[in-house]
Amino acid sequence: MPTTLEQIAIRIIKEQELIIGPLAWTQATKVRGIHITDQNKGALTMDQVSNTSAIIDKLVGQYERLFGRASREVSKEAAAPFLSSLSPADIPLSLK
Amino acid sequence: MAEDNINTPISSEEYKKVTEELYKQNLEVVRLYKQVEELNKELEVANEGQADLLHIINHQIKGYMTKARYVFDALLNEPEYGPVPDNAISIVKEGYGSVTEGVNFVQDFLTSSNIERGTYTYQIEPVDMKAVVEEASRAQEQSAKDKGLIYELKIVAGDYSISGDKQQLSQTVRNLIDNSIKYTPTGSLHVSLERDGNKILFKIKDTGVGLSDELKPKLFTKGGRDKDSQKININSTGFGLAFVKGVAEAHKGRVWAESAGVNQGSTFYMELPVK
Repeated sequence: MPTTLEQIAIRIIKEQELIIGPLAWTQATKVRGIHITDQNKGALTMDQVSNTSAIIDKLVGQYERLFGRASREVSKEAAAPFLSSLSPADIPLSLK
Repeated sequence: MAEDNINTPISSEEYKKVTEELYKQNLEVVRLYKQVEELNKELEVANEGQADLLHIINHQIKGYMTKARYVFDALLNEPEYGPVPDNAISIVKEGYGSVTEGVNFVQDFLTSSNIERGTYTYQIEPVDMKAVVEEASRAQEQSAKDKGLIYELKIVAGDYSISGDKQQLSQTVRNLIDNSIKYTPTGSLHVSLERDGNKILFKIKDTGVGLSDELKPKLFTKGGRDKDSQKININSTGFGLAFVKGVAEAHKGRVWAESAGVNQGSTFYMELPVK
């Protein structure tokens, strides 16, 4: 069962995939701490470190670095339904 | 001169700008796609609601008409109401006939609707298609002759036994013949039944109004009547041929029509497998 942050990462990648295609998964593999286990099923794991939410920030940043500000808004919209289940301290800065 | 044609290198800033613009364009397309998807879902729900409402209304109408038919039937046949006065017999009979037609019409609509929804349960039994065609033909031949049409039935000798729903197969044959009669103002109807290997082919060739290229693809779809069809057949609902297709396909058969064009006559085919 993926954690909430893992679900957020999956959702962001899938939403980016709608816009840029499989490139979204290629870019996600470049983010340290994210491990794509099955792209077809949309499954991944994230390193469980002290600041896991920073991995999400890196993912959001990876897309933003390539595709600009508009991509950040897409990531925020994609993650929005999951944020209510996180404590304010655990919400990644890039999604606030 | 040649050097003028050499493009200057694209800077990383330009690449980034182009990439970001492309991203925005794609994003817009995705948003529009999502909107269309949402609208489609809403439309499906609305269509389903409308179909359900129509179904309920027709059930109600059928109930009222069936009751009216019982009333006419009782007036004509039950001794307890006494004899119908001579000067009223024809009008009471006309009322009975009209209401009976109405009940059958609504029943066809409901059956067609259930077939389309996949909620109709076929009563499968051994059926002799030769007998089905002969019976339907007997009933329809008079209508054709009353209209001044030449009517011919030709059944090639052979075994026409299949497994199927006799009532619905009879209705499909009646619908096909009825359709040709209604859309043939003058001329003739040639109805035939033949066996081709493991298939039975029922065919009606008429000299009627023919089929336009516009009508052909939607001919066997629900409501798929021609724009002028009600000028020729005032009772046209566009459900009769959709019903035929539904029943034929449920029996693993197929229906199709051929026509050289408007006012060139048509030939309707229904092919059913023997096993």
